[in-house]
Amino acid sequence: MTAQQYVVVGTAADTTIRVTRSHAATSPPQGLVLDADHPLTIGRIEATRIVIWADTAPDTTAVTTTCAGDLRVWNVWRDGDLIQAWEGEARLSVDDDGDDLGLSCHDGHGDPEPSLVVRLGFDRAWTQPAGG
Amino acid sequence: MSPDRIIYSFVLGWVVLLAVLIALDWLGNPNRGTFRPKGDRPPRDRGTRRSTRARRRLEEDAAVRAALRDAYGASSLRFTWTSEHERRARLLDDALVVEERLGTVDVASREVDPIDHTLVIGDPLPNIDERIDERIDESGGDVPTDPSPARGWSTGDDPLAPTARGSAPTPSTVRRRAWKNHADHRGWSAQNRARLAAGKAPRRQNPMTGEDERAVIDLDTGRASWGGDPVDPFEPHS
Repeated sequence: MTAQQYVVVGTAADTTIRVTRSHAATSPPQGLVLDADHPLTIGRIEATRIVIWADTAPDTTAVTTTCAGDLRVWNVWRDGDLIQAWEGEARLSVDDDGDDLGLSCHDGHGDPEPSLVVRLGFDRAWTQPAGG
Repeated sequence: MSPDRIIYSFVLGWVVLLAVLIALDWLGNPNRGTFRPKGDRPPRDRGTRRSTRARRRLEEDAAVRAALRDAYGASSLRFTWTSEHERRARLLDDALVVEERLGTVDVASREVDPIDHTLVIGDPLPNIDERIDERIDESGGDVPTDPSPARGWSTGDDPLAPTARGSAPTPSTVRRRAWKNHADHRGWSAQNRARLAAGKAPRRQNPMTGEDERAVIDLDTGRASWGGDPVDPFEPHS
């Protein structure tokens, strides 16, 4: 597992990404951002940058890509009215088991335990993750 | 070359340079040719035109100072710029957004204790409430004499709340208040915490672009953001 600030995943067109959350701290509220060059789709919503908040989204969310390209993923948290990321001690660790991608995310508050743990499952092959 | 030709060349050079500078100034003026509805046009008398020009110059200077304050925390980058200069500049800028009051002004009544003895140095001043220091700070040094119920802003209050004088806060005041409200939140780096405590916008390096980013305040709502907020598909109103 390597600690980094975001992860990049190469995805094919019409790939469905299952985002399954297994743990999330409640304070501050945690979220996961998915950012792509082409629109992503959740239900009827289509946007290139989507956030899945742990306090409003279901435990498993299906996101669909419209075109092939890079998908960038990082954790965020709400600080009052501000959506925070990459501040303080924030980082995420990637656990790549070949099929799914496990992400253990820490917000900027310096707690040793992950503030958000999610798993990304892909219904098509994806390329090796990279990130900053 | 004869002395006449040298003088002629010198003068011609200056004339050409001045003409180029004037042309550049004219071309770079964003207000050039701006349409104004007839009702918004100032009267044509000389005094009004002069005061309008003076006010416009003041507003342009205030805009430059506000930009400098946002970027560097001071209204000027001059070495000789002191805190007294800064205080006066902020007072001047604040005064620009205070609407002129026409007609009579209703002044609220206030109970005042009569002073029936001679005050000496060190005596507590009568009729001064506890919030006076805060109101002086909020108004940039101008002691408000209007005893209206509006109170000074303090950390935690709405950044859009009126000033102690009852006027709308300037954009730089809204930003400063919003960032001070964020200063005691957890999770900030020490560097950003210091910036926030001083009422300045936090900065961060975007790991994807490698560029430095500065958070911004929406002046209509007082809400902070880093720009490019993601879409929340599960938000009820989206």
